[in-house]
Amino acid sequence: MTATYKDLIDTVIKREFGILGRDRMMGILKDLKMEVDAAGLLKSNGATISDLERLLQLLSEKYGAVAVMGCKIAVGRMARESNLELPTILK
Amino acid sequence: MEKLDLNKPVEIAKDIFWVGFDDPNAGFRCNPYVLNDGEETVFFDPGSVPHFPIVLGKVMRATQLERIKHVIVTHQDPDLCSAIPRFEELVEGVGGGFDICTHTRASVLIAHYGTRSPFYRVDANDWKLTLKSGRSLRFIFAPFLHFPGAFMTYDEKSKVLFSGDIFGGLSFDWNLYANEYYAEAMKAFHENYMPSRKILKHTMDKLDALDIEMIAPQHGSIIRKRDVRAYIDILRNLECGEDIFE
Repeated sequence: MTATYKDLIDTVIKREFGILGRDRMMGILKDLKMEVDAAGLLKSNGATISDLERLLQLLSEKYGAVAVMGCKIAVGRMARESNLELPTILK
Repeated sequence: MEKLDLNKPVEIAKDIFWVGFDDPNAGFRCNPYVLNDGEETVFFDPGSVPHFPIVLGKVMRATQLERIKHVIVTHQDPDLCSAIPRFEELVEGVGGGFDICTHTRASVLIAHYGTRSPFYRVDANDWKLTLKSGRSLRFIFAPFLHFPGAFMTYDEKSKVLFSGDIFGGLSFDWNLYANEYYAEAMKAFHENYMPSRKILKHTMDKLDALDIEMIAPQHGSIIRKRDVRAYIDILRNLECGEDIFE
């Protein structure tokens, strides 16, 4: 199945629920005005690479390298399998 | 559920204490443990120099320094063993002494911290340590996870598996015991530090034969019996390290 940027962002959210905790991650999403459902899945299907980049940038600014490192490999693999370009912060 | 006081040593199993601390700003927490067996204490992965004052305070509440006879060190990373020379000074100062139980490969590196204690090389001692009471600690070789000489320790009496880095997690949202989100924190750590699924599977398969009551990792959260098999299966199937190049 081909992944989309929504899938990549959903993967980041799921992973960060484990690393940052649900409350911190929901705070990040609120700051970015990204709406998610109760399961933490992005409501919009139109996410882009710039949405993914904004999310990772804010994670980096607020929580540093560990927060980015924790999802970099999983997201990178999914992007590679679907030939999706990654933002610089995930390269 | 009972509210834990993390400012004190927490007894996670009979006579086994978590002596770490909750640093809310750290995504990479460390968990030293103390096991008391009669007059003998075993100290697992004692921690780093910055953590030393807090860990020391908790160790002294969980045991007496002169009772520490064995310090088990799963590998040579500074976060889990750079404080050993400081503990040596204090234990020797009260007339005691301990050996450092580790793999030969790690021992040659740990010596660079300036340790003075003798090494008990687990690979040269039939992969076990028998305490004075007869209690047996079994060492389970976990090669390349993530150090070539890494190992875990299984206490046959309590059935606690002290797993070192294996089963550890990256977590700002830390809990002493794993919660519903811990699997993701654990995957994040292993994807970044472990070499391959094949190597993880090799060690996970060894755990199938063990009756494990609890997994006590050096980073992250403690895994209770009800979740042990699920977490083993997660790591058995996790793509990491060289798998990312495929």
